[in-house]
Amino acid sequence: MRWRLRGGRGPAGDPDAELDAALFETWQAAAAAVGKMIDLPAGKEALLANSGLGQEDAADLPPRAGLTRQVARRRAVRPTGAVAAALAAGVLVLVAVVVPNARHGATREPTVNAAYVVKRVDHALSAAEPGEIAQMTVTTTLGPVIGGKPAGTRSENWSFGGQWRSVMYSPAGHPAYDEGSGTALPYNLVSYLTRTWARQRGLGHPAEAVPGPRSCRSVITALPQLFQLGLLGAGFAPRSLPVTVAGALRAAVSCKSLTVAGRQRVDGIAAIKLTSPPNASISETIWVSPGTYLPVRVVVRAAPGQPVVLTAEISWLPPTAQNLAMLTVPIPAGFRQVPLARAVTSILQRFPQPNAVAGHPPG
Amino acid sequence: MLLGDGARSSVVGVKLERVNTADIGAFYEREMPRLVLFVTISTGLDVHAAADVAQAAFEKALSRWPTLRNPRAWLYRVAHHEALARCEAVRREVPVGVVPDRADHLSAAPALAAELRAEQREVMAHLGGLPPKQRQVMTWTLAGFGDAEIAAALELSTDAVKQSRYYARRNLAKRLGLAGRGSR
Repeated sequence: MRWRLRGGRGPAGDPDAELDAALFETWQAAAAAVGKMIDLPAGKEALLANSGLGQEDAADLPPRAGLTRQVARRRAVRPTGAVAAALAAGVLVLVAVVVPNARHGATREPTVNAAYVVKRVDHALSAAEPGEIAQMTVTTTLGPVIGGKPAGTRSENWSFGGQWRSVMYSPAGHPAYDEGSGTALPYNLVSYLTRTWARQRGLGHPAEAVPGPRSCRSVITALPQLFQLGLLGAGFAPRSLPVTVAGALRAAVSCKSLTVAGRQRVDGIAAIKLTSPPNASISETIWVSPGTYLPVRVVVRAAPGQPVVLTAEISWLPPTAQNLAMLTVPIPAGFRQVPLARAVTSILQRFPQPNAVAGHPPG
Repeated sequence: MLLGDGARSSVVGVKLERVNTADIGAFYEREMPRLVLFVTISTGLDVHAAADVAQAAFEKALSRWPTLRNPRAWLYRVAHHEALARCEAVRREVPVGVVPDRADHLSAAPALAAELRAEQREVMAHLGGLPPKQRQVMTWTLAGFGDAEIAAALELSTDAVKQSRYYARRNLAKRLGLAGRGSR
């Protein structure tokens, strides 16, 4: 098809000039289109704020009429609803009501920055999902503090694409059980408590991806799945099987009215601290790396009076052969293979599961 | 024959003597969409990933703004390298069943495609379909950089830049149905 030049710069009939004009015109139109697709005001605010210029020199910037209204409008259309998550021991049901943060309308800067940071975190998680291994150490503090030492559990988790693995440790720090699975992979469970292991096909396939970041219903599943609460082999319904850590984090980030609460050092980096509103039933604090915008730590606290704290330290690893090996559940030499139900029962006696579907141990 | 986006005269090569938020803000608003487009077309990243790369490049640039001799060129160079690193990481780490021989930039950015006229979409598609080196030279050229700057950014000789642009223009003219010989 012959190119039809519209409004070119060069003389008609000069192919070089026509080509230049076509390229020039297209480039300008595409740049204008990109300008409509990205949030320039929020990006500029964040750039200046991160550089330290935004605070004292903000008066230099020409006021942008309508920015506050735009942000308020974006906030207003966010879904508001009740979010329930059974978090631990079947005892605690937390109901998080996402309410518009009254402070958002008061000051412009934190609102814009929070929206921008959340957007960048969402994009970073979206980009990380297919290509990086999420490694988490989850510490759960449960119940009253006894003798100055809180009761709790610790687990290590890895998630990559449709594959995941979780190692639960005993209070003494020894591995208690190790489970893992993935798409087209059998579910493997190793019990260090009884020196047994079990394998079953058809379990442990990841659930449907957590719905898009705009769906706050996903938080219902996001938090328990993020923290891998419960032994999968104890009978999770197929639709509640773990999704990727990045997917769960996306849902958790996007469904809260998070605000930027400054910076704190996490593992040597000045991480951006995002916190949920003070009146939220679940207190959620997320620290994200200022370089990659990927979460590096997540702390979820229950409502006052509910001493449950879930802390996840998150690393993002390249899928090297060594790192990919961490997704595989090793079967130690000398361990005996048993039916899955038997392996599960022995674990449940020591580690009661909060989310197990009663009466349906597989196998 | 050089192409340019009209930004050269006002920004390229101009060093801001002191960091001024109004200047920086104006520079950001003017350059950010162009830089995102540049990254999208030259590397094939989608618009949102390209925006992340561009924002990170701006943050790096701002931290050393007073020391930069040519902030705009530095900005584009940093964004270009960061985008290539991301592309390489994704390509290396995510095995795919069928490797596409050409990046289809517009199919990855339907919102961008929707803003363009049919003939502009065609130009963008052909631009994105050029071989990598030709595409990079053309995007640097369209972004308003001169041969020496492109050569420095892409670690090529200026002759190689001219040659790549010549072939790129010839390819584009051919694909667009223009009978141009493709000037350098």
